[in-house]
Amino acid sequence: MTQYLIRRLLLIVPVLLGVMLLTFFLMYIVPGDPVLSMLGQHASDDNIARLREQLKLNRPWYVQLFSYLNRTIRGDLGKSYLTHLPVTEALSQKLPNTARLAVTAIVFSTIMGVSIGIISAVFQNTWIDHAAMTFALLFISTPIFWFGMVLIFFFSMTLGWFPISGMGDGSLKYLILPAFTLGSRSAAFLARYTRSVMLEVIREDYIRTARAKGVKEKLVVLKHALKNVLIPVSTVIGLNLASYLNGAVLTESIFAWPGFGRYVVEAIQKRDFQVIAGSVLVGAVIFVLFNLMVDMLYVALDPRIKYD
Amino acid sequence: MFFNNDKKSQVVNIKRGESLWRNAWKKLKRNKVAMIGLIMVVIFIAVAVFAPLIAPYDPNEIDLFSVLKEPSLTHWLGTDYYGRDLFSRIVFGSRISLSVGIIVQVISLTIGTIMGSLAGYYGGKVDMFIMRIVDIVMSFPSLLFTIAIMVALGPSLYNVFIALGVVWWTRTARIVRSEFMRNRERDYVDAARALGNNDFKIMYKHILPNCMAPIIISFTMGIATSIMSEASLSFLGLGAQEPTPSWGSIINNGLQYLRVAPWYSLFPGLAIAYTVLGFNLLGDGLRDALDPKMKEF
Repeated sequence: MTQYLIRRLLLIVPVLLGVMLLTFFLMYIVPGDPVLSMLGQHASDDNIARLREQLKLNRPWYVQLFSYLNRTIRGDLGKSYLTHLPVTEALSQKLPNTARLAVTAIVFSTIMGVSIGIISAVFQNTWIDHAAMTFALLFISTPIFWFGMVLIFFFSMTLGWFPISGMGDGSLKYLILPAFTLGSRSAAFLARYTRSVMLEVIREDYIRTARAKGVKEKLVVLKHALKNVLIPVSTVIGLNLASYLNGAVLTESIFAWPGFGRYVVEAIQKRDFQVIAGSVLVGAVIFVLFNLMVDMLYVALDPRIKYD
Repeated sequence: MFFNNDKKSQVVNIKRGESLWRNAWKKLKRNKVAMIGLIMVVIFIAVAVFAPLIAPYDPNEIDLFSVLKEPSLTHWLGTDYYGRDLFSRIVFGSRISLSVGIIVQVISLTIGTIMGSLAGYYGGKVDMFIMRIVDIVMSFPSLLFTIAIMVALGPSLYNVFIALGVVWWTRTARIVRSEFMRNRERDYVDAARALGNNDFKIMYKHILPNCMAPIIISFTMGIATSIMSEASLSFLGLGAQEPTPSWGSIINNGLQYLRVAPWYSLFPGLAIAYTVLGFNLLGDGLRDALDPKMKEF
């Protein structure tokens, strides 16, 4: 296990290096001059030249690459062209808000997804199953930014039950709609997946044994089957993390939630390249580390799996 | 011919002269839900192809006397901020979605098949190299990565094709790779080699036709994903630019009039959901018909 962990950690190094190279490359090919977008169209040639020198933009690409790698590894993601605030600092303020939204969404989607999936499997091929799976596919096919908008229209604008946007004082009423929006698609995925795993598990020998010895059906499902369903399901929850980071960009932009996603969207509108590059890099690093954690969790949950 | 290489017992189930495809089509026809999906997809494609005949107005015709009009007999789905007919814009928007769906899938299918087949067939260092690239691309949350590419290339519909193609080929590559790895040790490949076929012929004339089922499933599902991704990018202002009637950007434009003109953003969203649902239903059905072993997810 320790050996496996070390090997996995070592494998992350080239991947992260590749991620950094790719991010650098994307920023390098950005059309137009970032200096112009920082100083505006009417900047004097003198100022432009000075800033170019300051940002090392007139050095050859490999010097730029080296200095980029050097500072990125030390955790310096550069400064916003517009606010001059370091990207790392801004992200450390925004990420906790996104985490709060994402964790609520994950809890919601797990409870909804797993229970709907199990109910669907238990009532396989009945109207309950068909209705649940139709709804699941509908949610998967609905753009979440549009779904969020519909929720705002009905529950905030028409009924006035929830605030329209923002995080306000941080109370629960601000959290409910965005978390529901962000979690709905994952809940639907999870329901479909849980159902298919459950249908497999329920045909296993040990389930037949449990039934044969007279265990009540409720217990068979909730005790014997559920445990074995939760192992694969928990990895899928973890692997879904990317969809939460993607979804946060769209959800936060709809609900004006002051997190990571909204930060990225604002940077897109203002063409603040440093912020975009830094955020995308951080998104990838979070994703890579979480995937590793999910793999570890998998081993911890399932004693049948051993890595050597 | 697809079953020449397999054990005889497997051939028994299929009537003589009946190809895998005909058998799959039979299964698909029996699947009511998949047929609903197929009909939805055919309607979507028909709308895109015959858009000029269906749309009652020019989608870009500005009419400042009928700004933000609610749905009525003259404007079935209302009008937008410039007085443009929303029904016509949504009808023409289907062309954007259809072209995104198909072009992105063709790009990612081409790159993914080439990379995946090389990795799966040769294994070793080639596999190692290609799979590390795949790992790196897949380390980025997909939307964030496409955002970065779109920002670097500049917003336009053509760049959407490139950005989504660059991101999504990795999934096809993984599927094709595992199919090639499964097939390369089979007897029919040895036989083809013994007959003096070169690697290229073995890969694309012999192995590839045996990998078509998962590729077709991934193509269909991929169209749904591409349409959704394009809508998200356009919603963020990174996709097709005004006045191109992309569904995602219509939703984005309508958002600020949500209180006074909710239909503005409502209908293009329904169009996206309808189209993506159609491709997903069809994809589910194809998976059941072509590859019953694949896990439903």
